[in-house]
Amino acid sequence: MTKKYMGIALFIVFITISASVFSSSNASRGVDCLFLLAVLDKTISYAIVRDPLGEIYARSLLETGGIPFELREYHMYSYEAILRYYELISNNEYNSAIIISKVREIQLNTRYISDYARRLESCSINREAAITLRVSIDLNTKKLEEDLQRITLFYSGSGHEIILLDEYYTPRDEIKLIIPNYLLIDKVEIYSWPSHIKIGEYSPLEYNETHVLFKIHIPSARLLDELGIGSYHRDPLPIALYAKLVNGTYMLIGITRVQYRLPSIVLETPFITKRGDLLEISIISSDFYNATIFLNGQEINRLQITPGSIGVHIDYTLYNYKIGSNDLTICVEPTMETTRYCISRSFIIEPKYPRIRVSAVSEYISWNGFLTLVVNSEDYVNAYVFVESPWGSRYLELPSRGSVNVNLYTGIFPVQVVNYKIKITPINTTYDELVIDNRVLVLNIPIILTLVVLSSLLLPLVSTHERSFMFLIMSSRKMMRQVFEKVEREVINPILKPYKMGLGSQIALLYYGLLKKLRIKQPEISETLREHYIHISKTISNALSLILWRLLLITEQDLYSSKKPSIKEAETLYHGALDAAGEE
Amino acid sequence: MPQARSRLILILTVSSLLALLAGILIIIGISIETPYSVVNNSDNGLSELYDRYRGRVLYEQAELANYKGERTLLVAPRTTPLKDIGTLNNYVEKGGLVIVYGKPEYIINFLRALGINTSFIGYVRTGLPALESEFLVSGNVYNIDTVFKNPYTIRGVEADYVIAWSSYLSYLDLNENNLYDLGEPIGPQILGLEISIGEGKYVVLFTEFFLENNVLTYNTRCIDRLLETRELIIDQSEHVSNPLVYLKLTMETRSSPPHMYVSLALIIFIILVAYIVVKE
Repeated sequence: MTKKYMGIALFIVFITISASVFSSSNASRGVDCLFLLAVLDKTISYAIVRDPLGEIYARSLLETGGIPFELREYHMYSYEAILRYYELISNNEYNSAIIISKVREIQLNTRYISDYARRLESCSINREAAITLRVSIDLNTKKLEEDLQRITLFYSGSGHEIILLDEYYTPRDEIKLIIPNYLLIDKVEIYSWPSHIKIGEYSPLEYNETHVLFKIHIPSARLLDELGIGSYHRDPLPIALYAKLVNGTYMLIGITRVQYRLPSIVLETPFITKRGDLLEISIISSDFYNATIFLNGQEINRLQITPGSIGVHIDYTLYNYKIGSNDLTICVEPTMETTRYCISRSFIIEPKYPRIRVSAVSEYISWNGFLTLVVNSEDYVNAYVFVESPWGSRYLELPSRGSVNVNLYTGIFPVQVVNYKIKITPINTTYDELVIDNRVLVLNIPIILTLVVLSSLLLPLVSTHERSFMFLIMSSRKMMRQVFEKVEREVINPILKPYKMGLGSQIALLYYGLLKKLRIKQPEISETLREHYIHISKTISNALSLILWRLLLITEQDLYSSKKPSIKEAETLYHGALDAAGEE
Repeated sequence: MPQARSRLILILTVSSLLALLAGILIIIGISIETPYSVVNNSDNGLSELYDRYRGRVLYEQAELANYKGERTLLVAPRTTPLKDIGTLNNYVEKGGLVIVYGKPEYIINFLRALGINTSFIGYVRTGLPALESEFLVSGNVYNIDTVFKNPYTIRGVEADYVIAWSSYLSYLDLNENNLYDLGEPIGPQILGLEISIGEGKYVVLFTEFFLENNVLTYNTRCIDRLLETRELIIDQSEHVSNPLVYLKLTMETRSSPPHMYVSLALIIFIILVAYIVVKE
């Protein structure tokens, strides 16, 4: 008991010791856009008055992390512009061309500042404050640009401005550059930016006394594809225009962007098709394109797409198709304005099964121990039928538009779940193999009947003892005991026989003999010697009852104890009892 | 009956030992969330500082008398003000270096006790959480890059004594809404100063957390520079009034409180007496 309580106490102690939960929930939060606006405003304000703190802020902001991905480019270009401005104004460079080149670079990036401010305004929680800051940034940016213009005019000397590049061009555009002669430009070259792949070069078109004219054709998407520059349809392609001077050095004219676009085509395919059927697809287009069709990566066809809708029939069975999901891809070649583009659709090829039915039930009563299935063909197709069950398998032939019976053995149990598989393989056709898995609950009548008969025959062979015992259990009530009295006695007497005979005890025999001699009622089968004594002690004298009691004790000792009493003592008590009763 | 009595004593002894064992296991298993505690393994605990620098624990400020000021550095963060600064001053005068930081009430009271009339201005935040949260603000102490958690600034500090600043990308959150509002000052804020007394000095930082588990990695350079060859002592006198923390400190730290040996001796004595009685 003590151990039990100690165990419970220890258990409670250990349950209450629970590991502490270390939680560190420092979830990172989004950036504060208003703060970024305020810092941008602060930095530009410092920059336009050429306060060195502006440069510190610009550098800190370029080095810091935590800028959301969608703002990163604007953030970087904006602060780079401000840093480069500080570099420019602190520079001791006197080469006009280089300075003008640097100014151009800054001017390209200052356009980002206003864009950046607008984006920060849109993500700020406090819109009024954000608008105030954005307006201030716009004003300061304008002042910065005016300062850059003044620098340009100062260093270009003649008062003529170099034409600034537009922000975006399309492939059909051409850029006219009118450049002062004194810059001694030999050619203008175009490069992709920042990958620096040469796209083209242009010689001067016209000259006059003071200026030279260049006409730059914006590269087509086709050309970019040939050069391996890639597809720029989502974001415009940055290109850099360099002036190659007569002395062989290069000067950056500017960086601009070219906007290409995707071809506008739509591909429609069916979602599912049956194996063997032709796949019908539709291609809707707004222009002429050359295209290639691929099935699961394999080229299967080339075609020319025309404006409008065209239908194409594809016999995929000639190529590497598969039952299940397949991919159809159409890749369009690049044109002047449109980039290379591929569009994919998935479709399912379903197997083609013959119209063959199998009679299917969920419960079945079997009168002969077999489950009969009927396989019926509604198609003009011959097939092999392979039937498999836990007790074996067999092959059958199914004729065209015919039927065949399949008998499956159902086993030895009266109730059985029979699992079977039927594989139907069409012969010499394009149909696919059909597999049917099923299970049936079978009531096996012959087995049931057999079991009933067997149990009826076997039951009588059960021994009398077991039978009587079963009856005894069933007949424990008094009324029922009278009915089965005879059977009971027949069963119980042999069991109690050793007890009645004294179990081989001489003293017990002496005790029974004494009772008989004294004409005292013998003990009943169902009562113990002591119970018997209690009954008879009321009818006999005290002296006799005392002697009988002592003899009873010795008898019990002789019957049950390993320490046997002396027979002489029993005999003495025997004679004493007789004397007490007045008999000899 | 003598047998029943000895049985009772045995049961009582075993129960007492079981209760003691249960208590020890509970103390070992339970986690402590008390800020600035060396047995606190969570973000605001000092367990890593203690482990990393094999520090010693200060149960009472009076124990400072046992340490040589010029060879030790005391880290004394608190949430509640000190009742008496005299013991600390004595330690600093003899060359001790004390790093003080914690809740604003503690720092302001501390500075006023040193004769500096100051008051709280506001918490310093950053609008660019390059670190885990806006409560972690970059800055510097003695020009060493550091990170402060929940820093704040106070007024009335003379520039000559300033040794800690927040970064350019921090701002003063005057309305305590953890967001930048137009007009709130952007730029470096004063986050700490140095006060020399006698041979030693106080480094007072205006931040709630500086050497705790979730900022220690950022500030190891700073503490290394300040420690040099000194031994680290961590003031835990604020926590000893909590019996659970006190017991955990005695069990899990290298420094033992004065009464520990008495308690141990008492336990051993009880066990011996019980054994003798039962044996008889």
